[in-house]
Amino acid sequence: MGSFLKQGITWPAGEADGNLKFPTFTRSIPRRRPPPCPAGLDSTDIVTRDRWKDDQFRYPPYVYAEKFLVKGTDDVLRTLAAAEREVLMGYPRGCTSALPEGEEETRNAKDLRCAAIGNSFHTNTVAAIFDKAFATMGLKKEKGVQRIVDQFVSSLEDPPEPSLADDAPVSEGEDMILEREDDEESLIGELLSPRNLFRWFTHTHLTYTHNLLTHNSFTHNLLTHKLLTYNLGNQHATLSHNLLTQTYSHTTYLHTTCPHTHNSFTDNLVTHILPTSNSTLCGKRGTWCFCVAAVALADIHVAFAWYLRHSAGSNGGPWPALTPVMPVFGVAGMQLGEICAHFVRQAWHLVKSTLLVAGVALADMHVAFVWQAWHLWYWPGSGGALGPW
Amino acid sequence: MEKVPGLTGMIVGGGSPCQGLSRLSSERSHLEDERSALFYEAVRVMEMVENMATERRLWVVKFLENVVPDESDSDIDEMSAALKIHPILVESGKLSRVRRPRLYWLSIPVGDPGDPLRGQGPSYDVLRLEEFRAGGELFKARNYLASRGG
Repeated sequence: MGSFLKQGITWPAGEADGNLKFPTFTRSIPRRRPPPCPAGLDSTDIVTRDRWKDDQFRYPPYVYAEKFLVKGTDDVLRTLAAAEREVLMGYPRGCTSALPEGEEETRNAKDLRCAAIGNSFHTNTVAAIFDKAFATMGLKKEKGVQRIVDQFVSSLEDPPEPSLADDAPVSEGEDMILEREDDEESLIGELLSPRNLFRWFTHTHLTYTHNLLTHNSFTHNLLTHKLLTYNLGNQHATLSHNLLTQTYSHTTYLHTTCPHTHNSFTDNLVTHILPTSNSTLCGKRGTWCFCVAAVALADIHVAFAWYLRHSAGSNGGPWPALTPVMPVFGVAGMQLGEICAHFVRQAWHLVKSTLLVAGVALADMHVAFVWQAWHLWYWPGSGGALGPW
Repeated sequence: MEKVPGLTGMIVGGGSPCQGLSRLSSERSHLEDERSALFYEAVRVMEMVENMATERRLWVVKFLENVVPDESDSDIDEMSAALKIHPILVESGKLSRVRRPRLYWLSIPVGDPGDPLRGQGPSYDVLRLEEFRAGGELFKARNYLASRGG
């Protein structure tokens, strides 16, 4: 559906006159009394002025002329809603819905949304100007306004519902390029594919974003099934809980001595941090996803390493030695370890910042330290004391 | 700038407050309005970024958008002098079913000199992209301009 009006809502005057246009959007400011000498007042009739008054003089008076009003499903004429203004200004429908309500009673969410749109650019116009300017400079080939508009209209179509159904496996052992736009691409990697990552930020509706994000599926060449972000978060929360129960009391030391680790990562941060992020930059969000997932997975990794090492008591490195001892947990641990390592590599590839390098290095050292400390300094009967910690 | 890998250029700009400039306001005080006077702050920041980018051999594009003030006012000329850019006027209503005539100051040329789509004027040029009209037809074809939902 590419229309700026949803089904059942009509614009009678606009249908009769295909060249009719809405007046320039302005900010939405409810007032107790009309502003001095409002523009266009002389051109309005008494009915229009009554509508203006009934709407607390939010917009200039001529906006309330019947030809600029749409008819809702209840047959009542009204000014354009925020979502309709968004589309007409070249924004995805619902993109201002995240604006909080104002502290003043009169500045409700509707006013804030409409005010933001009234203050904004017409995005397709700006895109067309820059497109032509960059082509003039020889920086890029001119895309043309038709393609710009076409892409925008296409993006207005309702996003598909996230699905848990299996997708066809992406390349295994080969790098894959996903293209979002003609001039944007991202290296996805060799083992895992966050399949929907580059789609969700183009649709700003938070519910949709949340669903999409939590249903990001990752394929892995060692797994027979797909891992969802949601599953990873739940796995983590469950594991953390189990590790802190009596059944696994011997493992509590690691977590109780690292309270920040426990408190920070027992919730499924992967599913919560990203939807509440205000960033609109795809690169930032993509990076966030990788970093948060990497941290969460690293924590699972550490917990798994601890549990496996304690239960199995083998002398070798945790992964190969534990596999035959505890096949189920061993395989899971191997998988998580590899997934974690892959995420770390991807995060490194995306950011390449000093901070992230330090974080990754420390996380890696942490795992090694836990392993080494356990192996070298564990004394049976000491209640699970973990060497230096 | 050092934190962005592979950076080759920058766009700096935005839209400055229009309350003192808009013809909708009968009591406008032009660039003396304390809100609209922030335009000069935008100019300062743009020049600062431009200098930093130039030192690093990055290309930089300055960009500013605002309403179309009354031509009898001196606002446009004053803003253009501060930016050292001749603005263009573009009516977004050619692209959508809402009017939005706006001035754009862009530090790089939009279209080649003598481009028939660009009408020259003393205070501003008018960009008349004929393609916009094709875009309008496209909108109709894709039900964007139609008022009924699809």
